[in-house]
Amino acid sequence: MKKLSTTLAVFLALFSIQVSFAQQSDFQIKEAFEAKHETLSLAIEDAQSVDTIDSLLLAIDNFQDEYNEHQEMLDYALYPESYESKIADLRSKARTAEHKLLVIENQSEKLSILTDELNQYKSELALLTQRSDSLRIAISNSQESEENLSRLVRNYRQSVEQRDQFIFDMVDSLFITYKQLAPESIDELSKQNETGTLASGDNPLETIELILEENVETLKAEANTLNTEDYLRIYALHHKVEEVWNSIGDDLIAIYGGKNKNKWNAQIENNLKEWKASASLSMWKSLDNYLENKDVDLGAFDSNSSFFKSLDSFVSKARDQSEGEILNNTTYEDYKTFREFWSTKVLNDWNQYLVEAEVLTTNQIATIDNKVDDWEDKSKPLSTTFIILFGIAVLAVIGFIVLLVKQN
Amino acid sequence: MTAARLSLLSFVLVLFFGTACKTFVVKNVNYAQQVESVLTPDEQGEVKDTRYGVAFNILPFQFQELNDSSSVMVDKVRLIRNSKGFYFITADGFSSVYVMEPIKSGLKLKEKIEVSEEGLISPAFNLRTPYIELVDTETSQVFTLNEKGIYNQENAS
Repeated sequence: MKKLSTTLAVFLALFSIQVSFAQQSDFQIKEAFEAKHETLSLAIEDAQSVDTIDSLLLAIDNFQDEYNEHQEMLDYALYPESYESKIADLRSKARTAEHKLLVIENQSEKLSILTDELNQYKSELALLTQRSDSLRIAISNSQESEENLSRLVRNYRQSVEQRDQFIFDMVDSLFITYKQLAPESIDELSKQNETGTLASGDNPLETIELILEENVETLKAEANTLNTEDYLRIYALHHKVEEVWNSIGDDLIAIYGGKNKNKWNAQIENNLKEWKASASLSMWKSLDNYLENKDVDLGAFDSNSSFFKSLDSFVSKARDQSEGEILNNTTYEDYKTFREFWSTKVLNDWNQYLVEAEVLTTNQIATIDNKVDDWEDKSKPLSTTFIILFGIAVLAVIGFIVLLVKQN
Repeated sequence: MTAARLSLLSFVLVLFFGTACKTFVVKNVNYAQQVESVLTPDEQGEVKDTRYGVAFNILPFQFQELNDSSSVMVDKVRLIRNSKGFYFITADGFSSVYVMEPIKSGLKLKEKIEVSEEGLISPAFNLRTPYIELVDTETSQVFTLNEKGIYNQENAS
């Protein structure tokens, strides 16, 4: 309907100028030509669809036919421009607009598919969140046996893990789709959305806001039911969301921010910060508690760099201390305790999240791993069999020497 | 004798070239302006045609028409030049077209062509070489003019 009215308006405008001069002067013809040119030019700028542009291209043909007989006079009157250059200018504008609208129509289609996807994600996410919340409430109100409580906690942790994994996938999908948008179409999509064509609830910014708020709430409401691995996953999830937001956030704000671009930006940035502060605090605290329980004293750490420094310094010192202790078993026991933590947790269970969240980089892990191997070599005590055999060998040599002396 | 001849020859040559320089004329110059200029006077009645490089005051014309040059009463001044270089000037409400000949720092009336007793409502000029066409777009009246006056095709043929 909008397309039809735009085209109709253009034709009516052109027709009204044409019929208003029964007896024209050359000056009036020139003025009418310029007015029609301007009308067509504005109609091209305002065109919202490829169909409208097609109609306008036909209108340009008619416009050219109408003024062909005045070409010579117009060339003179329009100097330094010319009749041909003015018509060519219109055609060029129409072709450019057509190309732009084709890109936008294609992008709009992509966006609409994404919006549908996003709505599905939202329902699914709501179900997962609801399930996790119910389990958390059940745990806090539970008067049940320890066995049942432990089952509830296990279910809750699984539920949070599922939800986090779901958000990981969703954020990936968002990132891939929005990165495919042509940069030149972002302004146009933004203009379209500012006109109110976006239905409330279809806005991905709302979904992102919801994810952030729910995660902040989950961490606030959490009461020691999650373990270090869960906190690492949440920390890695925040890292991922923040990374994606830094990459496509400006575009999303431009497209969907409407007239509240600054407000959306501030809101999401604040929630990201709050989530980071809370995820970071919980994760470092949990990691510290875990190591304390395992009797691994790394000292104080509360950031990626301080954690690496503590680990590096702990392993280096232990390795140096082991040097020269051939018969002592103490440092080897320390090594074994650390090795168990290192192999089962850092290199295995937590590895994905540690690397994704850049708590430790792969290079840092490799550096520590080499030092741990070195520590093993230096702390491993000699075996009893080896000592006995060595003793027998020494005695045999002494016996042999005594025998030689006696014979002489 | 020789000196006298040489002097005479020099005198003749100087006279010849001097006369030739004074009468140096290029013929068949076309001054025609393809489309009329529509000019808006300022508060002092000055009109300026930037494209064709001419500026003058409309008040003397207004005085000729209305006997009043105390303030500017003309909205738009219509101006066109024919191939011979004469300016044709009129405006809304004027009953005549003024054919003006350019002179040193001025315009000299060549012909005042009276076209309408009631005054033109919406005049416009078209160049129809060798003539100038005057159209009143309100009344659809058309006059064919040259620097001498209204050209009557019947009389001409």
